[in-house]
Amino acid sequence: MDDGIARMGEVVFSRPGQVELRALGLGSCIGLCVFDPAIKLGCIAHIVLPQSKISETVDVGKYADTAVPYVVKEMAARGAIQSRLRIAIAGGAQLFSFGGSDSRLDVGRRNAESVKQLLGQMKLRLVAEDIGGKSGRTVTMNTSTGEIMVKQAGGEPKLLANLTSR
Amino acid sequence: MAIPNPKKNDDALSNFLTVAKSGVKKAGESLRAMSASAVRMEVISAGIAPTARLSEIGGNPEDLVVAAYIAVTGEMPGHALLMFPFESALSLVDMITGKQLGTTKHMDEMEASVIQEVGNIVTSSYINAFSDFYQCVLLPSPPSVAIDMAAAVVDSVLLSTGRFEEDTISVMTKFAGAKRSLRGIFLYIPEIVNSP
Repeated sequence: MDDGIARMGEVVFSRPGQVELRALGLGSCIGLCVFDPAIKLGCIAHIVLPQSKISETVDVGKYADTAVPYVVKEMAARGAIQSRLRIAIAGGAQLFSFGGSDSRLDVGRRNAESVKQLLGQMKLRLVAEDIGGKSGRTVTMNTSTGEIMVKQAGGEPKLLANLTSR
Repeated sequence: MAIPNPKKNDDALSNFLTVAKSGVKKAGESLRAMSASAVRMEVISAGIAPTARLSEIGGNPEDLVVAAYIAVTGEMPGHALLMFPFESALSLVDMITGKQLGTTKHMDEMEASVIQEVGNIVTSSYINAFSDFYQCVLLPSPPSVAIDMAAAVVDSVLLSTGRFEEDTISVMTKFAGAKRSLRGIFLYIPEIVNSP
């Protein structure tokens, strides 16, 4: 569905007439927001897990290690330039306490670490982040203003960053 | 006993779903006893469905829900989730505690513990059906309660295993109040570990 909403594992890009992109109710998932201010092109990927299995190549948007390179490549194919990209991430919460201190179970934290590691490796500019904690989030990007808004359950949307400003 | 993988074998799936339905019946009986017949449970669907669709079972992804999550460990590990729209959770607390409907207006520690207890009763009765049928030991974790967006709750449970299966076996159960409409869902997702 092309309604600007990135569902689990999906990647959405802005286009004429679709300046607002969203990922709704992110729990342990990550909303990766990528923006090229020069051409006002934006993208949100709704990343589900840190790592793909080697055999799996179908759902590139689902895993951090496949989604990050995919998004950069697709943005470039649409006219973006990698050095201009500005990035914000939101999500990676842990809503339930699963008991014990088994950090493997904290998928939210692992998702966030994996995304940040990849952004670092690819020398991409992470401008702002709102990650971790115990609450779910909705992240919205307005590609005409460059604003990234984050809303938590029962709260009002708050400005996380403006990806237009330097 | 080796438990056959219900995803790979039609007979195993059919057995699994039959046991699941009897588990819901047991859970319903326990809940009726606990609530003086005010709350009923019924199975609305049971089977294999695309996992991506499960994230929308709560309705609007951003709607506020009250949820209890219980991890089940043992020979047939799984994940149990009870999820109620916020207003229904308030009604449920009234029904269970024998208060007049509309009395409970907030979801604080006391109210959350009622939801936890409902989670305990429902999940324990449900997994007893599996223990009996498959002759195995299953242990529920203490319930963890969250008040959050529906989609965030569902994704947290679906991904708690660190894997994303394309298809998920789920048993979806509806809660209903005798005197007042009550919406709620009990979802049980068995964790299929590479068994034959």
